[in-house]
Amino acid sequence: MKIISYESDAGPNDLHFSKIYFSQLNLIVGDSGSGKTRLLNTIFNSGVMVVQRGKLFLGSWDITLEHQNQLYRWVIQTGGEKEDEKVQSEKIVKLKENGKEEVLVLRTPNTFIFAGKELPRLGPKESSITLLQEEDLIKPLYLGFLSIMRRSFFGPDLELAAALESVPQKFLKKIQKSKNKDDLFSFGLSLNARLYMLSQYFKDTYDRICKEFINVFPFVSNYDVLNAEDFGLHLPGIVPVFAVKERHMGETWIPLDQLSSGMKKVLLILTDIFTMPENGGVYLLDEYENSLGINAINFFPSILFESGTKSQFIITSHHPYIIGNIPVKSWIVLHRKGKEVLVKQGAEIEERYSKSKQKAFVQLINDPFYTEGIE
Amino acid sequence: MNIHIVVEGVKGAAKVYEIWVPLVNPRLTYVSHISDIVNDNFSIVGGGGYPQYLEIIDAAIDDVNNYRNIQRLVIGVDSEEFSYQEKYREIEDHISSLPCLAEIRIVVQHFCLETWALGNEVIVKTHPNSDVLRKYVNFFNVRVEDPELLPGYSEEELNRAQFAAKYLKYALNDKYKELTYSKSNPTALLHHKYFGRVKQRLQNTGHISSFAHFLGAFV
Repeated sequence: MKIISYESDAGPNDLHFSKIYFSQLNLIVGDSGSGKTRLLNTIFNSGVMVVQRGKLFLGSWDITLEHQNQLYRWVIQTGGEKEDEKVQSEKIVKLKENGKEEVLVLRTPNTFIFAGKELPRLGPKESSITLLQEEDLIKPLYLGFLSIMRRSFFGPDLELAAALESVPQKFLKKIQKSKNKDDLFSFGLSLNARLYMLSQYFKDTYDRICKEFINVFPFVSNYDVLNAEDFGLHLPGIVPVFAVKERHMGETWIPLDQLSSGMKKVLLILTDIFTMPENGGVYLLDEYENSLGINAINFFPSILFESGTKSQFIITSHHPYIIGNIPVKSWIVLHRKGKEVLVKQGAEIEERYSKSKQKAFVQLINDPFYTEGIE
Repeated sequence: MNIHIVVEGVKGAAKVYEIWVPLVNPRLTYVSHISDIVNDNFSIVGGGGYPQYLEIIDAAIDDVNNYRNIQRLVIGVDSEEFSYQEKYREIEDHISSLPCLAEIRIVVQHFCLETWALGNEVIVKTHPNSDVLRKYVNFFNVRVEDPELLPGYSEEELNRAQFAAKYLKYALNDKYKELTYSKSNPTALLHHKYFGRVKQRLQNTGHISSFAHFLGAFV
């Protein structure tokens, strides 16, 4: 899936994002507090409303997206009280190449029309994509939203991702049968378990991840997926532990949970990128550079360009290296005026910045739209 | 006359220049990008505190040469631990091999922007409420002595530029409840009366003499 354009309003006490156009690589920049994290959250929430039954958020969303070469527009407005949100209106449209629209769903509090036919009243606490996910017309949209992944490192996300986990038998059986890497994405397993599955069934991807990891941390001399038993932990089932050896540190295996947070973070992001769905997903990444050394920060832009993935990246950063190494046309600059978040697209900025020999990053930090990012 | 300005510091320095330059020369109007310069305009590019200041000067000279409608390039830089002359020479040596179609003026903020700001006598109370500020005034009274002669404050391991910034912050906090100062938020300095007091200090006492180069750069 790829988000083409996005607009959302999370109600009177939250931010309103004016229309943003996304391409495959998108770098969201703006002062602290300008709405970068909130933007990623609201995009992610739109996906949660689709894939998590009975879960809505207050607000309105207008999203144009592409999945399997088909364009759709989904417009939804919810209302009611927090924790008791209901769909107030909803429209799903298939956008055709000739510019015409085919209305798939039209919904108000009293009517529910799907493919031109009125349906009996359906629960107002779920989006129509959730309700109709098995229908051929809607299924591609549902699968598209399933391919959104968000990573942020403000809370315990990194520790959770690096936790030990017994690999569920049902997942093992499924992957043995399907040999489909996309299944691995949908399992939502921890990093140890994912690397185990990759090492067993998708060796090329596993080797690529590990090779890139060593490129960032050349002092890593060896790597393997061992078992918790090897570290004296007696846990039921297959409990894999990714471990590395480091130069000049003897033959000791260092398990994933004992690696530095920078090493864990890099490995996690690499694994995420190389296990995104084959046809492309949406990867939301919030300020990954926090607490990272320069060697761990620098790997990211080149991986984005070299990975060859079809996925869409929507990332935020404050770091000069990241900003300076991502083309200006991929920037999206946010500027907040109260609850209104205004947007400058990269193409617009690129045109202006091309009129000076100063580096784009220098021009950005002198641009009042950026420097006075919150009014 | 059109002027392009390069400042070294974080965004606060550029903001101070943006407001103070038209107070020196009311004919000049600020534009946010060098490409917007038409007539009697000035634009500012700041290094944001990142360590590539000389590269920014180089690119500014390229820009001035390309646009050809800019008559003066002003380079504003803190001397910090260097003497006025040393810093001036450093910039002069750097630009000496770079042909520039505009006249170049080097403004050394000796030893930082906060030193000039401490020239405003009014912001330091005669009898400060703050114990810390009282200690600072006893150590070096900027109301009486030339702020450019402020030494470092070894008791807190502050060099003179760090000390000036802290001194200024404490003075403003002590005098005005609602005002504070930081390098990224210099709002207190932006009022025309503040600028007027700094200018008066130079004119009445000859203190903060490096500020004269700032005044001269925009007329």
